[in-house]
Amino acid sequence: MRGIEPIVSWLDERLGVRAIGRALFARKIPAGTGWIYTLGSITLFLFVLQLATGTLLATSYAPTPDHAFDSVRYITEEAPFGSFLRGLHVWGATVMVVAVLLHTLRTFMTGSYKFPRELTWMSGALLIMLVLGFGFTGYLLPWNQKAYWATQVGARLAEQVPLLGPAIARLLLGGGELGPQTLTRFYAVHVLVLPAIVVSLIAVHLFMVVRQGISAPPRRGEATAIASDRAEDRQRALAEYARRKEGGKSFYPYTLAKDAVAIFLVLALVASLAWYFAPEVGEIADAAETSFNPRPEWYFLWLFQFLKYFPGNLEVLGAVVLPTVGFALLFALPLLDRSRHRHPLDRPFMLAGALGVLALLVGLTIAGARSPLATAYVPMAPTVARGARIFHELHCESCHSVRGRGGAVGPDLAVSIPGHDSAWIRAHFRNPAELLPGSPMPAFGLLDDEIEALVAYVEELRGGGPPSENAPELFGRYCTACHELGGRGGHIGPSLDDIGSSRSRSFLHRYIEDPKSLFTDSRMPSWLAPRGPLSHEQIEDLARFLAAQHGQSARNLPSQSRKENP
Amino acid sequence: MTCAADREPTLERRGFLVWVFWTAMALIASSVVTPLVAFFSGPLVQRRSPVRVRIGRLDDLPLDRPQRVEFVLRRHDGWVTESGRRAAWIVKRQNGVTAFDPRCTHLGCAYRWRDATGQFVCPCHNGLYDLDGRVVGGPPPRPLDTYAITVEDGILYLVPSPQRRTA
Repeated sequence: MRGIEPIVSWLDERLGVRAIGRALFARKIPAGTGWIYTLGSITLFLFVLQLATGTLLATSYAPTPDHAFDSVRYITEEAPFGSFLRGLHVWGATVMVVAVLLHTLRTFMTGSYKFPRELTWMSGALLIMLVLGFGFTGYLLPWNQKAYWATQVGARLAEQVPLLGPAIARLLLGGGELGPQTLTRFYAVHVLVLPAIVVSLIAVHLFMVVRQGISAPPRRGEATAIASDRAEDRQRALAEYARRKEGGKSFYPYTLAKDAVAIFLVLALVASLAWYFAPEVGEIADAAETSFNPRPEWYFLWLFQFLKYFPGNLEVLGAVVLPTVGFALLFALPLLDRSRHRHPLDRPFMLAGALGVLALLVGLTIAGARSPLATAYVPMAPTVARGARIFHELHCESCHSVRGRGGAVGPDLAVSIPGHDSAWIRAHFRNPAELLPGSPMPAFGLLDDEIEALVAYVEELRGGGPPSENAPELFGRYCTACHELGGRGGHIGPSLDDIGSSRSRSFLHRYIEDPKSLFTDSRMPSWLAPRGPLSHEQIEDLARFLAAQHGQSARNLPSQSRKENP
Repeated sequence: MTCAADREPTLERRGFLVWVFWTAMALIASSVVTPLVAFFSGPLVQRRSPVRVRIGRLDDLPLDRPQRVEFVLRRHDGWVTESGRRAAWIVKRQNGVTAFDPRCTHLGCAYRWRDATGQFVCPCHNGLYDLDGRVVGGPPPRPLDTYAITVEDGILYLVPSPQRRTA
């Protein structure tokens, strides 16, 4: 430390850094501030973590609909430490919301928002709103299904604002539809506008914390001054605080050591979450995929659930009026609360009110999280989904049909042709003319991983590979009591003659394994051992068999036709 | 009044907390900075597997006369898979075929062939190369970079990633 002394002196003569350092680090903190007083520092640290991870993520993110999803997939699956970095950002956001709420709760409980710290609270209330704004704008950026539909809902909520609603929604979306302009707007707000405002507001917030000092822990029965008191009473309250402050210890190292340890533990938590629960890439945003169940991020679930209790014409109440009133009350709390007491037990009504609001929010959040999904939905495997995208990008449907829709130059891809297994398809994609001389299919010069994705997609269309010889027998033994196929079987469940046209193999697999996980009111029992008689492999066999059923007599099935025409 | 005996443990406690603070800060800083630096340094370690491109029949190329060929290279670049136009200079000699990267080894400008002098000329700083890519004038620090080539069934293929040769 001696070595830097001349540098410090040089700076001190010009900038007065010693006085600044003393004001910041040698200031006294009243005795009795325990671990719950570290929540503010934790929040500040998490914000810095978001700035750092967000800046790095921005180096590999493209805010356009045709590249956003792929760039997030690249960050998550290919870039070194990308998944961990994104995990830090996503989990950091979640933990930050929790830290902000707990910090607010602590400040409320200790009555720290009262004279002379009203403005500190108000700037904090604004910061809460901005943090939620970060969450809302950041959620869209991965451009996956969750992002797309949650933003769709958010924009519709904004539309509910009386008079200005439609204009606000258009400004938010950058037009009438959620699209490229929405994404660039959200991106700019998320990475430029909000950080600039929040950094300035944090500076103000911290300046006030240092200027007024950290509030002394409240004592039972103790009364303090309020803004409308006489000047000498307010002076007496300030003098009393100054006395308690002098009795405390210096900020460095006593408070800061505690802060640093708490921050380290929170960082360990965020890092563990990022490592063990890495955020998923999801499926690319698709306005045509109507079976997706939109769900907001957990910290908006309370609002999501709240809105279910408001019928049509009253929805504006739940969507706009009540949340606005709630926030206005929070913001203006120091002006509305005229009590001189600070200890929570001396303020029973405030305490009860706060606990009531808290219980309501927690209850709504839990109810929202547990509310059943409206439609059963099984996402495509990532490779299959990628294959489907390449299929559309190369305009394959101009020549090939899938289940009767598309061009007629090439064969229908949902129908398996005997002898054309995945190895054949792979070789065919590489050089169409080699296996089928004179084939009009162009050689696209595709890369190996693109070919693999396309093969996976075509396999999925054809039911994920051919079922085994035993599949029809399995079906006959376990399924025909309730289901009809090819004119034989019961009528308790639906006919399965054309099931492959509406359900994918992965859906059927999951449904046979655990029907109630997809449809809570399903009457079908679970077939997976030990609850049912079938193994995982047998269920996969059945799922492939069923996914290949396209039409009345199911004659497209090679294994079955072999059995019927020996 | 505090006597010396009372102050001793306080000083010890202070010293301990100073140590706790700086240790925790060092741990926090290093565990945040490490993944950030690793992520940003990705391009230093990430290498794409090379892609082989079909050029054409070897017999169609003239002898001792550089031929500029264009081809379409499909490749992954970050999160984008793109098909882009690329070029190479192919020189067929009696003793074999060479494919040259089409950028000058000085500062990367696209050079061209001048028939009159029988040299490759770079328009930026007058770098000159002979038919075998050796530097014969100007600032280029080393001969032209080459591409790996293979010939199968009379068809010429190349891998368009430049390989350095020493002067």
